[in-house]
Amino acid sequence: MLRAPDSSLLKILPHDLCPEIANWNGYAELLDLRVAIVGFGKMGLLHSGILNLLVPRAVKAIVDKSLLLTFGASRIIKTMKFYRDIDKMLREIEPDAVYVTTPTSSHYFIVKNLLNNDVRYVFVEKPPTLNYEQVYHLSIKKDQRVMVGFQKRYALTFRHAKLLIDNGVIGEILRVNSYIRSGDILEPTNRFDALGRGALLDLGVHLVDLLTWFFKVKRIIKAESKSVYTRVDDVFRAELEAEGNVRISLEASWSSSEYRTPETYIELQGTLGTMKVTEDYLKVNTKLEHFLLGNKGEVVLYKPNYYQGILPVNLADPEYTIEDMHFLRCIRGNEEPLTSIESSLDTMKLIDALYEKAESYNG
Amino acid sequence: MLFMKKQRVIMVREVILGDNPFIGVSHLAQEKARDEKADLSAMDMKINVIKAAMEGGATGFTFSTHQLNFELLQYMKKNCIDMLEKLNYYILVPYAQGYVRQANALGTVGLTKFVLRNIISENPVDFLGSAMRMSVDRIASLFMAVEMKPYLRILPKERVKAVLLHEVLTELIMAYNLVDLLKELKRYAETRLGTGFGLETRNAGQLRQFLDENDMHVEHVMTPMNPLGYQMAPSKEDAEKAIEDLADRGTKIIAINVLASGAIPPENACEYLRKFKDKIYGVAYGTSKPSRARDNAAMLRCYLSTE
Repeated sequence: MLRAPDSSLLKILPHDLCPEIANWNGYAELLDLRVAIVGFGKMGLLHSGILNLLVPRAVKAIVDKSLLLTFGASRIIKTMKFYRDIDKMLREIEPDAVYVTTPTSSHYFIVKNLLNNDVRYVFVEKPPTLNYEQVYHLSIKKDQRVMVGFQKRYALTFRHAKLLIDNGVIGEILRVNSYIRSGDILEPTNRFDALGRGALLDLGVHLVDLLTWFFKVKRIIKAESKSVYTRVDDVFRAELEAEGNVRISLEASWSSSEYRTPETYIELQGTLGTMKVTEDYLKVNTKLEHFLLGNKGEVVLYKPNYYQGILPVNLADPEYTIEDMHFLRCIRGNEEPLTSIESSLDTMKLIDALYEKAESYNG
Repeated sequence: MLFMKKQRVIMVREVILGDNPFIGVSHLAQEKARDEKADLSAMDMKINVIKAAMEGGATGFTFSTHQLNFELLQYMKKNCIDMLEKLNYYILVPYAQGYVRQANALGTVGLTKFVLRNIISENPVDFLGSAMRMSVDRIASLFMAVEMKPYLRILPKERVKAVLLHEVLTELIMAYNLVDLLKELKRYAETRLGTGFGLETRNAGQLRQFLDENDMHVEHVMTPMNPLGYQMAPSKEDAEKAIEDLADRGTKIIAINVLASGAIPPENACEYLRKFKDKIYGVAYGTSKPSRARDNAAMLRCYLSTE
């Protein structure tokens, strides 16, 4: 049985951790929103589903180069138009916002095209591009907003962890052990050959993004990768050093068979205590009885403690809904997203550096 | 007459054991799911949980079309046919995470082709007819049939009470307003598979509205009900109202995630559910421990009945 958080802790949770839900009913002005989705794979399905449940019929168009998908889907989905050509869609739909949920290798070219065509709000799934250079060369006009789908920053467990770190609740951080693992690739496949990058870019980018959000990484001590089922990195391990002499170990693996769905785990040792955080829980043990822990030194909180009937839509993990609500909120207020493309520069720079380091290590 | 007065009238008709721990699913934490799956790695352990649940008063089993469940039911047919024949079954279609994993490896187009190949190999004539009419709704029904077929071969037909669409499909049907598809799936389940039909959802409020707007009725709705409001949308209160409305119109409500994934004690869950006992048809719960399987079933029976 879980340890029930006391009432003072519940006062800061979840509303203070999730400003996206504040005044949600006041988002009625978004009812005329015109959204298009480019790429009708699982992420395209997911985002279009959440968006339509949040703002009925917000998604007006789907673009996918597959004839099989667009033809098949157009036979059953009558509320949207289907296209195989982005430019044609842009001319006919004139969307306010476009989600890019295509394979990573195409992100840069599609986002660039959308920005050149004056689309004002663009959401691009993670990783935003193949590498740092591509992100850097995206030219964004002053009134344009580009958000990256680093959805872990929208999970309330990680937001709470960030708040605790920033407030020194476990003291100065000394050591961090972290991993992100999934069982997505358990058979040989050549799908990633052309991309040339694997688990670190596709999955590990979430962990790297969280680590760069939590810490200022100064240097890479060691990095190595291993291929198991593909010709790219199926497992990637590294040691980093962050500001304040924080030592960080990280592992990204998409070939861990025991992980039914991806899991991100970060364990922090501080001068006053320890903290373990995943998408599912936050466990803190510290000498400091802090108000952010409900004036306790030891707290264990799970998803049901954070997401107590607060989300207007449940589809897949709650962070996806919060992420989409965040994007809608940015559209409504013309605000810079938490995971703006600019904020992803450090993450992508570190990803590139990790691959370079591993290449030299692997020889 | 005296006996009648003393006899317990069960308001909730079914106490249903769920399969989540059997296939490594926990809505609390993956860590817990991995532990539970390891506890239940031997077939005997699963059988012990089911047996204990039945001793406590469970009358049903709800499961996804996951390979591990197929193996379990095959084992039961061979080794404990009495248990197999006593339970009622509520089958969730499909095991969505399996397809998500395949999409990661094959890509969405690759997955679509894979699914179509399966349908063609199982139902070539029906597929051809559907393809010629370009009826994607009908092809979706054939997909449901392919998923169900192995289980319908094992389970006593009269005991398969319903096929329920997995919540991801239900939510997408609502999001895209796929009324014709839903009608076709319902028709296929009821007439061709000979089972009841239902929807699993974590968005009860939106589902009630969707069914209202499209003048539709489904026999079963399976949805989370817990005092925290966890996985209840658009809000706990709206979901509760929707559940009551649906029940009043004759929909059989099956409450799931009643323990908020383990965040609340069974007693609190029962106290909460008691308020809805004349609205709820069934309550599902999951555990990897035989003692809890027995005790929780007995507790649900006790709380959700009247003298």
